[in-house]
Amino acid sequence: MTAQQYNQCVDEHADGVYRFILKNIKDEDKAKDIVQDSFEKMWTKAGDIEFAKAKSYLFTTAYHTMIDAIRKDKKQTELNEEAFNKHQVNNSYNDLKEVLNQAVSRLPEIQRHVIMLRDYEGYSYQEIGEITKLNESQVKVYIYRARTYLKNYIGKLDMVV
Amino acid sequence: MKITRENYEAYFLDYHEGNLTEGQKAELMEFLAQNPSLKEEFEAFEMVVLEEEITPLPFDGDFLKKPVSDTDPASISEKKLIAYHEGDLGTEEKKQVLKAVAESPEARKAFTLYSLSKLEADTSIVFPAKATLKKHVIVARALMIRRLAVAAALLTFMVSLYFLLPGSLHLQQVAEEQMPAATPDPKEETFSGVPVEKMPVLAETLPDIQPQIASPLAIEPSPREIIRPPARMDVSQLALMKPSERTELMVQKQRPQTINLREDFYWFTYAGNIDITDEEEDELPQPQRMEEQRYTSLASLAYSGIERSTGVDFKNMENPFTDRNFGLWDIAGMGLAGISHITGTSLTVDTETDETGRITSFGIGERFKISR
Repeated sequence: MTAQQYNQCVDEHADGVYRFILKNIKDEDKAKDIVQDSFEKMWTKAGDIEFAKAKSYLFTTAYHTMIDAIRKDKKQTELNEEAFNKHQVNNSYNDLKEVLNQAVSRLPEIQRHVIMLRDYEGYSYQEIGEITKLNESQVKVYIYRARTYLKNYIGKLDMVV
Repeated sequence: MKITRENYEAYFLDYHEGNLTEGQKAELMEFLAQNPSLKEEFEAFEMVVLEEEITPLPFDGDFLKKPVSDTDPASISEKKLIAYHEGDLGTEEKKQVLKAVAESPEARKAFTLYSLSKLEADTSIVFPAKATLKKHVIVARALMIRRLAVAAALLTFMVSLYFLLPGSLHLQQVAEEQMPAATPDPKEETFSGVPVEKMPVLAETLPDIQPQIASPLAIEPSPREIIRPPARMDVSQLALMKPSERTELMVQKQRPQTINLREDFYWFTYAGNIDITDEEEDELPQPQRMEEQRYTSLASLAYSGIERSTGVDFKNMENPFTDRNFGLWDIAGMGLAGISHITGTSLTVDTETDETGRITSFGIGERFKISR
């Protein structure tokens, strides 16, 4: 991958990676650090990475960096909701989005990760499996469970349907 | 078979299991009337009959049931609805789901909820410092690197000439003549045993001689510039030359009368039967001519600079090592070798030549090498 292609990756994927990380760890500064680290790691191995696989490499690196960060400071996944909610308020989320965000935040960690990769980035089961180091069947089960939970969560609220 | 006291038990059992005919039942009742002592035993057979025990399941067993048909709207599974939204179904299965959704209110509600459970990326969240992630790389071509290397070598060579050749010595001599000696500091250390009060002081006088530095051609060459190298010097002798001490170099800079270092440099530089005569110095170009001169390449600028500074026309000088004129590589190599020799560093300069003596590879130390 050339420097030009690397910079193209920055343009195309930096927002997506940042969004994915921020939604999971809910800490803007840490999310920025993880994105920065992930791109630095990719740059150091730019010579070995094909441009076509750059996005997958980037998300895989960011995902595992995030997991390490979460393990180091477990509290941050539960606290510091302020930064996370700021986006919701600033961008005038409607009721459904707020409810859905609440539901997503209540999902088990792994289900939240896979369903975000699925819905935000449109990854296939196989790609999600490569990123999260799960097999394809596990990914499918987690997504189905998450989808059922979300459906039941929003179904309980009269305002949605 | 007639019922007797030997076989009555089999008849009792068959009676309670309902295996006797009406005739056999009547015969058994007659037997019991004739043998009332067996009536209690007859009733005991009746008590061993077990009633059916019903044990309820601890959970609702309906979920174990399989849908009779996917086309049945009421039996469409949640899994199918999820699979529809995940894009895991084929065309036929999609049609079945849509049909079920159309016909069943329950399926329609579940279908709608699954549709709403799809997450959407919040595009308002963007990475705020994208520019800091980008990399800017200057891709240098081989030719560019070569030119830069030559320029760097020439620069070091020119700097070394400036400090070592008679021009700089003469500047100091001029400074000595024009400026009064500064008051010596008794605390100051001496170099090589020379008292400080006898050493020239340049620091305070430099501003006054700036015009002369800016225009070296205006400076008359000192007689001390004419340092003649030995008539012939074997290449193997170069290896025997020892680098000068740094402190000694400083002293020599301060004291123009010490010219040993310059001699060494001349030896190393020319290393052959090359004369530097007064006539050559007299042929230095006039300042007016220099101002009008235009340089078409880095090489011509370097040659001109060397010629102006030293009075030596490398361009038209035969290189004793290669039997041809000095090239830029030769000058660069000598410049670096000179620096290495003067400072005592282990910097080595290696060249490889082809059959015609043309340099094909140029290396500095072990890390830098350029090949044609």
